[in-house]
Amino acid sequence: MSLPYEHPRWHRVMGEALHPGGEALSRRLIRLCNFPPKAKVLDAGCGAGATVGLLIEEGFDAVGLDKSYDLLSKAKQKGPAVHGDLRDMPFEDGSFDGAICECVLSQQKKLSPALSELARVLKNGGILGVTDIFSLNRSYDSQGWDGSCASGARSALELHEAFTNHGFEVFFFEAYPRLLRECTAQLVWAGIIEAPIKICCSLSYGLWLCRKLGDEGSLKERYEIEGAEKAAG
Amino acid sequence: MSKESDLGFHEQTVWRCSCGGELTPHKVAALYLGNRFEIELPACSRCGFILVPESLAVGKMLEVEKILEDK
Repeated sequence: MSLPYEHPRWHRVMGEALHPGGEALSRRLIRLCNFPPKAKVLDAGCGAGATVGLLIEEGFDAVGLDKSYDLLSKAKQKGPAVHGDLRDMPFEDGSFDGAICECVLSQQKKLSPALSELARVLKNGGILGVTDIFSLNRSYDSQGWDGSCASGARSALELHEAFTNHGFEVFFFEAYPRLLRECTAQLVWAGIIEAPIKICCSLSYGLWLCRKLGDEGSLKERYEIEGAEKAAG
Repeated sequence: MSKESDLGFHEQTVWRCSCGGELTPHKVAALYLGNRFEIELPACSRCGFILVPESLAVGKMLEVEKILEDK
């Protein structure tokens, strides 16, 4: 089965970045991640390598990973890139200071294998920057999963819980409600996808920043906030 | 008409512009709510009039309007 982003005209519509928001959103994600200088950063699901190129441009020691040989051949023109699956990455534990994952988690039938691997290859305290589709009004149903990012959209709560359950602390979230509509309209206009019925109204696009927790625990665990009970009560 | 384009007006037409000019394929851009949609349409080379076929207006154009406007 060919992947949706391997469609020959997908690139023409979406640009090199292949995901909603394009290069501008990738640049914002990199800036917000605030990786240390020369950090070793993984682009998990790098596609054609647009973000690998941006990371290298910013002075980071970037490596891309993708399961599409076709896209990987393009990514290798931007920088180092290796073949592999998010669910079984060919890297040692704690290999990376940071990781980026753009519109990839929604293409996973199950989040756990990919998030476990991301947690494994990141150092403690490492930053994971994610942009992806999320659902506004429904829970994820694996029965309806067909490999498309729309069918794989989780709710913001489901994503938050998944990050937390895999040892990440979410410390930043931003949503871009119009981005997905604009991107969908362009794909429909170009004849790449059928006009979705009501789907657009129930989906949005978001950016998450997570920190991999080490032995020190989360901020919530480390600090006792006085007056919290009073505020809650 | 470009063979690459699968959108819009493919039929040969004998229509002419009301100014008398000939309609020839032109690359045009439709702007809607800040979004740009490019397409090749018959346009008058004399006065610039652009013919938007009904099938396009009630087809793809309406579809993208619905997506962008949550109609």
